[in-house]
Amino acid sequence: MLDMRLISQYLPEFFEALFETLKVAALSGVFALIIGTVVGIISTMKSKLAIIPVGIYTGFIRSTPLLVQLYFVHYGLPITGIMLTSFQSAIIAFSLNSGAYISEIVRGGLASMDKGQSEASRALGLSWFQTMRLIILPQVFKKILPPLISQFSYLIKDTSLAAVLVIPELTYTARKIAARTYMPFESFGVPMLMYFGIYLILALLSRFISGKKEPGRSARRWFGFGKVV
Amino acid sequence: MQDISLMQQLSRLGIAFLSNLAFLPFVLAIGIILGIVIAFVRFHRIPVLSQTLTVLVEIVRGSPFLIIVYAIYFALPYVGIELGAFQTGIVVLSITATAYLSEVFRSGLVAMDKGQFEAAEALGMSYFKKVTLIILPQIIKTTMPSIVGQIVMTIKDTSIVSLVGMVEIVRTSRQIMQLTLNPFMAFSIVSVFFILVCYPLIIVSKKLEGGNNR
Repeated sequence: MLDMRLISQYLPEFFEALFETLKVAALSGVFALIIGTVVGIISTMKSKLAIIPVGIYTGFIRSTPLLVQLYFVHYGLPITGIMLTSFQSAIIAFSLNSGAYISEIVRGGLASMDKGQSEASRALGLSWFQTMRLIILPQVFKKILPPLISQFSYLIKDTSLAAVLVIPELTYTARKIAARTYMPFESFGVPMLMYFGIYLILALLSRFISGKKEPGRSARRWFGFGKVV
Repeated sequence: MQDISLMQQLSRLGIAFLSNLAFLPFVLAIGIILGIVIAFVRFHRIPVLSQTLTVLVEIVRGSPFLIIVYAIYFALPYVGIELGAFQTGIVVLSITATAYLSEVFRSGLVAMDKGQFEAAEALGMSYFKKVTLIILPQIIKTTMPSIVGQIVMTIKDTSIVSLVGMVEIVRTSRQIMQLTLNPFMAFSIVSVFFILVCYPLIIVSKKLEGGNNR
């Protein structure tokens, strides 16, 4: 049976690690949202000059493993003279990775917007920037909130790779405690339950939000069909 | 610092990439077969079994792949099972692929027209015939974009098996990097190999999705 004493002994350490995981995910999430929004808007432009770099960026991110992207940032950037801590490397890699997926979501949201919206606000004398900021983006974000939440859920799982750079988040801590105690079931069971708890909360949140708008359809789509590649 | 020519790097990494791709047939076969079985068990709501599988599938889908890899890697010897790096890779990749694919197939089943079942039944088909001749071909077709997506995910996930000792392309690239001290070259070659395989699959998945929606 599971050793409850061991679990309660290490529980504070697990919660600290959970906090670290959430910190990495939240920071990366904010940057990813910024990158994703900017890249998403650029990708709706007609100019080849805009579309080609965006295509290369999203194509690269989606076709290569996150681990390779992490190595690129962590071992590659110092060669160019940019010195990074493990934590900074992880944040950069996760932001760039998640940003690419978010840009696709934002692009989809922008494409689904009625053209009349931007035409009307331009006719009212708003600049392009004002139109985006005040009229288009608020509506788009409301629409794409469920897929954004799913993407954040993937991001939290992806942050486990920070363990490779010895960042004391959940996966790293689990491994460390497993190696120390030789109790794999307790050491991995607790963090897996923590990850599962976050996943469940986000899944329910996404289902709740999308259920309000179009009953049960998009939640099924985003949580029923696995990761969108 | 040691010089390894570009050709040597290419050939070493290319050969190493074959071990990444070698996972694919095993993982896909296991993932699709078990995925279909689990999907049907959950679709028919077979008591106890269905609930147990639901919980297991959701736990796997809710956990990062890396922690599943570590957990299996540490837990198997503990219960007396000794596996090599490649077998460990097959086990963990199959567990993940099965969980995701079962959800894909279940969604396909749920989305299917009830009339298909009823018509097949009205024609007097046995359950086995009904499933293999009527239901599965349609589900495989509608879920094809997600299956291809899962293939891409599995190929990318093979890189993570390097972290528990599997000698494959990412591990080899790190060895080369330590010799040449040039991370860009080694990781760029690795990226090119992954892009050559994964990017066309992503395009295919998108095309299939467009075709299904029409």
